[in-house]
Amino acid sequence: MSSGGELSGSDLFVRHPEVESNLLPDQTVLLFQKDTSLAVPVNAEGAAIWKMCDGAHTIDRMVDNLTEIYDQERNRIGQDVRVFLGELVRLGLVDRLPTLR
Amino acid sequence: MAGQDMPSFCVYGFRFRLHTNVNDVQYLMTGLYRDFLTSNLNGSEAEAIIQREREDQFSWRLGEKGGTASTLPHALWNLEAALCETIIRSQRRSIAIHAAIIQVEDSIAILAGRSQAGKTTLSLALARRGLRVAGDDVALVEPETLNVLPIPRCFHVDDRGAALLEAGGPPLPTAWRRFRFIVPNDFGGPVGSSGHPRWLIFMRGPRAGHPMIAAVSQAEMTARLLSECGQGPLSDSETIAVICRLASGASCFALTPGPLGETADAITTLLTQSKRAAG
Repeated sequence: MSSGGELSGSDLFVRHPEVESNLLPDQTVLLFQKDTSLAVPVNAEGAAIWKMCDGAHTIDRMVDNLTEIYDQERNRIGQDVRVFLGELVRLGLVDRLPTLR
Repeated sequence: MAGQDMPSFCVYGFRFRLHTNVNDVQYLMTGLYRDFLTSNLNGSEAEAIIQREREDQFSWRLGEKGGTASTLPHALWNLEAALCETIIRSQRRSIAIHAAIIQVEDSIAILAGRSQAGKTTLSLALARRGLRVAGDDVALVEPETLNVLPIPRCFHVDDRGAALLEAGGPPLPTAWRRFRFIVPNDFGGPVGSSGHPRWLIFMRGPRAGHPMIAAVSQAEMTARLLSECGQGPLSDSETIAVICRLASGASCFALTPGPLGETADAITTLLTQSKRAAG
């Protein structure tokens, strides 16, 4: 596993097994890291990204999917996705899978 | 000490009998726990004791906790705080949450915030605007029903807070001047039956020039409320599930307080107008 470095479009992520996600009716999610008792609220856009951290969606694919949902420029969405995923990695909520380069 | 005549209370399952040789204590504590008076004792109730030992010394005791104080207000505050803590610890299922509880007719608002956020002063200002403040500090949440059960406490108001509250309004009740001990029942009738909260409001700082109320997501409110939940009888996951359900059924807001009067007016408007709009 690696957590540092620039994120590339082919990077994959998996949700940390010790993190519980609680979906709320307004489509926001509360993530709870059981190891550290850290509770992190995530907005609806973040919740959509979180859902795609399944080891099968690359960043590029996440951005493709989100571009279909949200009326924003692809570059902007890509930037937001990278920032958000970087934060999830930093907080230990997702793991970045090693990639063959 | 006239033990036979002393009042007994059952507060959310915790039973205790008051013992005191100070008439004012009986009056004040009965005012605080008026809605919890009971005659149904089983002999296992705790004893909550305040005794005047001499003119400038009062002792207080609840179980293993106890001490002395040079003034009656300090003895009262210590005993009341010990009672609150014991009521919380006696719960087998309910979650304690650090929040004020405001009633608007049959609806409930939870006003949460860190210590020193201004919950007490704002609660009192709301009470003076006709809203029913059922508690200003701690409430219990029943996991199964999501009913919110306010634990009545005395309002800790200092001279500055009192001056703010009394500006442009009637003086605080006499019990504040004499004993620094005013309680929710000093501001209205009995608390209605508990219920689900309709509004969740989190106070955040720092204070601004004018109050600001902003809608927040249910996830954010859940995280905020979790930070105000003490170590309870449930696991972390169970507690989170309960607070998520609480937030799911409520309108959630963050309040940045401004001047006290403006802030109280804004909250009063929020609660009463949305109540009216919903019919």
